[in-house]
Amino acid sequence: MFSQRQLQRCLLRTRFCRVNVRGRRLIQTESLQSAEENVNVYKPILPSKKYEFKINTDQKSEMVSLYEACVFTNDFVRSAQLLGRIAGYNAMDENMYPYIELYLRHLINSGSFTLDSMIRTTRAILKKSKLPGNSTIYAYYFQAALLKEAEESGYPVLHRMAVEWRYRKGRVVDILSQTSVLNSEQIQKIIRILNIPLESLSSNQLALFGFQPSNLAEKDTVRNTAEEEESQPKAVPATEHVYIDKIKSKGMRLSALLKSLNNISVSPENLPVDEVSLEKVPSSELVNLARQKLLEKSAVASAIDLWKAEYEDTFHRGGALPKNKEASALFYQWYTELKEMFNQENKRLDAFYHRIETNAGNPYIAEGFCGPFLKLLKTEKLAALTIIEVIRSISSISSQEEVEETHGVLISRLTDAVGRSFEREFLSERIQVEEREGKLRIRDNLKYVFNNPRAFRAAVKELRRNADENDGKWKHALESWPRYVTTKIGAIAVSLFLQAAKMDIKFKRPDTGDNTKESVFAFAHTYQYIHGRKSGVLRPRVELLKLIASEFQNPLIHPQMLPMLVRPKPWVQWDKGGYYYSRESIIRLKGCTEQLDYVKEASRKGHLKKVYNALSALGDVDWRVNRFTFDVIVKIWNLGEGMLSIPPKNVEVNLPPYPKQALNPNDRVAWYSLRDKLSREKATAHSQRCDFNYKLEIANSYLNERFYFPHNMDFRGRVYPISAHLHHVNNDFCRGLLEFAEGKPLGPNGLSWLKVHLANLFGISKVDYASRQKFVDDNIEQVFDSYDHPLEGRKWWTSAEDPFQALAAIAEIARATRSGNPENYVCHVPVQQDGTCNGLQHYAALGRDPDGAHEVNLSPNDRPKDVYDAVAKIVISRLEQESAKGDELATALKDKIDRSVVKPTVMTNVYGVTYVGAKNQIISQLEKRGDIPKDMLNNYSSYLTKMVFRALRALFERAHEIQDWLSTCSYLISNSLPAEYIKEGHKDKLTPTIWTTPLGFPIIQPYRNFKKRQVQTNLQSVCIEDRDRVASVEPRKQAAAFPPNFVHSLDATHLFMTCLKAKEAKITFASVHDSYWTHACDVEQLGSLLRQAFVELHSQKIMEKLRNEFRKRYKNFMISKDIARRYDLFISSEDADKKWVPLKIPLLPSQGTFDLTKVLESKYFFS
Amino acid sequence: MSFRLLPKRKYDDVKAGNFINPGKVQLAKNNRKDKPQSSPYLINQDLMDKALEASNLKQQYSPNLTIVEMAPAAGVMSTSLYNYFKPKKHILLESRDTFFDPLRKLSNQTGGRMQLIEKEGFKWSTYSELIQSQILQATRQSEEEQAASPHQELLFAAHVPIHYYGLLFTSQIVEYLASRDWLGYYGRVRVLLWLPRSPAITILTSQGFRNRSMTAVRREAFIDTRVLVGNQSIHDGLMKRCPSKPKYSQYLPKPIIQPPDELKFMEPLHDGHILVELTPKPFDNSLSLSLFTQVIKGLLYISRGKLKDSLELLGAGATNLIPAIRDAGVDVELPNFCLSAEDFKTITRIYERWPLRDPLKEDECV
Repeated sequence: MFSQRQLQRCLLRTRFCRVNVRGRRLIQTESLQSAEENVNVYKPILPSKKYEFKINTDQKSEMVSLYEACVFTNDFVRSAQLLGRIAGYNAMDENMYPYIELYLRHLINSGSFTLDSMIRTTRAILKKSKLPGNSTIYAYYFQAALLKEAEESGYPVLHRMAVEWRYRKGRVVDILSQTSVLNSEQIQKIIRILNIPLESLSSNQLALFGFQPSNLAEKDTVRNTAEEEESQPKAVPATEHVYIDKIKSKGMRLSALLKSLNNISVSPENLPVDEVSLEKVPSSELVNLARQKLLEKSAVASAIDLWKAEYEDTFHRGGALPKNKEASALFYQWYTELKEMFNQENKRLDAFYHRIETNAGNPYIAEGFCGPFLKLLKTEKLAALTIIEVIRSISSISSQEEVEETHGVLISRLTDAVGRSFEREFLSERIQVEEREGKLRIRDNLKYVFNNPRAFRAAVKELRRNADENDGKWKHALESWPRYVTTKIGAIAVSLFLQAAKMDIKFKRPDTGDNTKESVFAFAHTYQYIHGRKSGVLRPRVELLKLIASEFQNPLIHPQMLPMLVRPKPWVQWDKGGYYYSRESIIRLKGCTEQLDYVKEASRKGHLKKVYNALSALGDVDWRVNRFTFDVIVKIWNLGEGMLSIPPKNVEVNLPPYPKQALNPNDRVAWYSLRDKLSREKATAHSQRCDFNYKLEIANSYLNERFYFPHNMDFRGRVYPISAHLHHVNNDFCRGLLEFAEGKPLGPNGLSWLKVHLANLFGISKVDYASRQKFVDDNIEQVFDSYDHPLEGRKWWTSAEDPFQALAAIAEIARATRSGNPENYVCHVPVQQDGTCNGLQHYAALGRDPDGAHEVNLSPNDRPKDVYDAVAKIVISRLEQESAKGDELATALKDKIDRSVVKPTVMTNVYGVTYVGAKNQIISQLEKRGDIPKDMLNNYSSYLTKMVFRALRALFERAHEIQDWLSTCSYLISNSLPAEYIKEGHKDKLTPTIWTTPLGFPIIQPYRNFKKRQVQTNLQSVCIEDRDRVASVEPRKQAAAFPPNFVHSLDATHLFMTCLKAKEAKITFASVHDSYWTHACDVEQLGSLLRQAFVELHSQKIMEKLRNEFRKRYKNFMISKDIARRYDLFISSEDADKKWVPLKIPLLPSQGTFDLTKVLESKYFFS
Repeated sequence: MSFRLLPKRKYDDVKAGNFINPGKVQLAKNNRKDKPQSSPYLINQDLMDKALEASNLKQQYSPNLTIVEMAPAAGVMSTSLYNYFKPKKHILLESRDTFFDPLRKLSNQTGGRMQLIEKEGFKWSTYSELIQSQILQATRQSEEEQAASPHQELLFAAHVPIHYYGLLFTSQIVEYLASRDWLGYYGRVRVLLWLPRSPAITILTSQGFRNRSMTAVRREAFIDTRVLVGNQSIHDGLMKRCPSKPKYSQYLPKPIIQPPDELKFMEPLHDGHILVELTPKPFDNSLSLSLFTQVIKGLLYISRGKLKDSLELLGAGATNLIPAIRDAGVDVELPNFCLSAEDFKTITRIYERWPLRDPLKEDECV
């Protein structure tokens, strides 16, 4: 049992994909399509295993990462020691092989080894892990022997190895088949040395080993194929001039970023032809693909080039000393300094080279731990990445709350981000190296392969196998450096950066009045109490923030995660898709990788094809920058004044005088809170302006480009673009800046839909379509005025709820109307159709609730129903009733309620808003009215929240029954345990809620009580959460989050289904969760498709399937009798006196009579 | 009006068993978590009488003295203060109804000099109400008067609750006395506080003590402190936090009366209480109080770090001030908790003159 636990623990830590240890834990990803289907039983892992691995690094995963880092930095002594330890904890585990192979591969590549010691070390490791060795390892032995043994010696070691392998009943042919290790020349040599008769090999094997083919007929056909393949690169020069033109006409930034590309374009043979030709893209996109690859590859280097160029430029313009006006010049100074510091740091770290024992708390050893990681990248890259990451953190708002509270960046977050960016860059380099090696191998054999049909087939097969292979072979996992590692190395980088980042500030001396300047640190590492906890914060100087926020031409773009210049790689696997040189996971997991195992398994079984297709289709939509809104925004920006969501350049603060010597100290408190508020606003405005600048900068770079957003999902299946910052799921500002690159003529109804779209953006969405069109027609003069004089005219567009999107729509309407022939006008702006309270729509459909369905437009109505209005009316009528009974609160409130007061609560109710959350929403809505005394707000909102909840329950009774059922099931499940665990005496709550969406996507709720851990870094100690999948679950959170997560998984499924249908119908489709976008001319068609998808989705008896899945998945699970009683579960008489009783999934609530097909006729279902 | 001494309060009259929930103070509720706090009160009048005699405070007050006493509970401290100072007016702020009867009895024997106000002393607005309703009438000291002596007509006394609220109350009183807010508005008003262990240790720590806090620095900078009653256990508790005792123990105020540790003079919870006398120093106009706060707050975030390393906590680039600070005679190699209040004042003055001070940081102007 002991070794089994060890093994399991190791499997967890090292992120191996399949875990199947004597039925302990099996991965279940089968979607329950029929009741008969077998469901594997999922069993949680015992927490006690967690403590069985006590090794010096404290954490297993850190050791594996350290091992990888040592191998890549050619530190073979240390890596062998680490591998030996890992082997000790992984006895009998075949998954050790890839790690040993990695070691051998790099050792042989380095060339600095002796054959005997290599074999001795590997054998010791194999012995420790109780494994005999496989054909790949022997292939490496052979390779090493060929390299190290002299021909005259007769290759004794090679012979010995062959004998040994045969003694183990292995076939030498299996070793020779390891073509990923041995090239054909080596194989042939080995065959010669070992005197293997060629007759004993099959023709397939001969072809694979590079012997001449015999079948000439096949040869011809393949030659043709080969010629086709070879002809593709020739297409490149034909399109080359287009490419160069494009470069010339592009925005400034990108051209700078692609500087290296420009150089390469002169010599077409240097273009990544092989890469391009092997990808499945239309030939017209080959050049862009090459550009995309180079963009991803050389982004960091280009950023440095750009800084250097601007630094030198400033140097030339400004005379003797560089001016600090240009941010990039400043960055270049920091860069050169930081690079030198990293060099020194590396030298210092070398001093600890052999002190490999890691032990937190001892500084010597901690540094020895970080050394190999820092050596993985060149110091130039380390320096540039650190600067880019810090600047990105302070200039883009990740969380509004954080900016408001800290005026800076949390150290814990920053160190992790910097460390993570190192890892990404390293990964990207690895992918490039591996690709290059792969290409070389093919190129060596290219002629050969193309002349030989069998070899060609074998090569293609191998390529495919490599592409599809995921398990077994060593592969650097995504985000595999544990947070401990990223935090530690990030802290080293940030602490060096803090010393390097200085800036000159000019000021007037107060005593003499002279202008002078002083060089000060640009950042300070300070502390602040946040939510009662002392947190380290990195605060930039205000002068730096101003510098970043004021200049539009700042080269701040983070090289990673930019929009793509070509269609993203289609998703074919959990980590294959999207960008070319950065591996992204298909799901965004916040550290807890449990779900990934399920997704991999589902992917392996081919259950995720539809999801992959839909995600790829979403990424295939081509976008461009809307030039009209871009120009308007740039004008606003350059004016420096605040407008709409764009904050002003200079924020003026009017603070009343400080109440000195106040009799009532509360006056002082009030003054301080006002001061804090104003200062927060000022800081937020700065940060927001930085954030806007950042987005605008990206838009500027991509001004004349056609670009794409690769997408991935959160754990519930909701879709998001991977590209950060500028994308259509972002705020109104970003949405207004983007439009479809491909235009389509408006057609007969397109203009009307554009008008409906505009009215929706003005918030007029609860009237029929004709009235919405009329609204625009009535204001057509305003439309023209806004188009002609967006900033000088009456600025009607600014009164819209989403002004920048409205401006884009206005421009299209104005142009189309003026064109005289709107039907032929080519329109690019996406028209949006939103669901009416989409969560409630799904609930109503699940419960077939006729009343609820009517309220959320599932059934046909003449005009759209307004659910907020309906709830508000119920609340008002109840208040009136209570008021008549003499309730004072009701009397005071009855005239103060309208749609807006209840709207946020109704909207979020379905997504699991709590009582406290709803109360706060109502408080803020009541505050906005301004006629309610502050001291009464609390009482009023408490009263009203209860009222709104009751009204919602009355209106959507069945929806609430389903919600209750879902959360009850989840609560019961999280409190249950497999029967044998209970026999063993385990009581920890370990079972998460797991379900499968109708498209086969497995979802695991990640809410667990993760343990916190202090990490000592050279900046400060950082508290990190161990995202450990064996932590106990949080039953309350699991239960509270399940209904909203389940509904989110349904709306995501609806989106996927609609997307697939749209793809089939060749309609452009983009989406923001429950808002579906397409061209104006395709709105009707998309409308019909999305309704069909909805009906199809809900015709699947989702709830029955879910219950069925639960019953099978949690069969033989036990629950404590107290909880079973609390939830009125059936307890048989034989269990009556037991403490634990079998878990029974409650019966489903009854369904209503709503006819789903009515949705097909509902005009305002999505409108 | 003739003055009649109040009879001595005996243990049998004031013991906790006589009252329902005697120590529970109904604090002004800020949020749901605010539960009634425990506030022990004095039961041994002899100790208080002795302490007052030893303090020699009587001479410093005029016959027009007004005493404001917060949370008098069973009235032992009130009786002692009344008999010793013979004030013109003695205001008792008590919100616990369980003590209303004994306090009323007391005040009835004083011919109107002692007045029970059934209000919460923890609420700052209570004092504004007292002033508005003219129950509390005091003259405001001019700057010259403040320079000459503490306020001669106003004295504040209180039993401070234990735990968080006691700490909060004490640190706020120290802050307000320094900035002349609240009763400090009238000038250098003296305060007598019965402090439980935790606020006592917080307020008394001096330079060289590891738990040096903002409150302690403020007290040292702006307030003269005497410990009238203090026992050995508190002293020992304090000394535990001092790594180099010979160098720094001299800065600790010595108690005038030191009762034996086994003497229990507080009910219902005896936690080694001490009686401190806080008298604000004359106002220093040359120092910006909010900047001083910013400096001590910033530097004490990492109290054990060396001054030269932690200056950047004040803002990016503040390490440029090291030469100026060194020149002013402050040892930049010392850890922050070893800096004296005067050192902090010096740093504040230098920091104030620095033109590159971050304007976004806490300041009186944004």
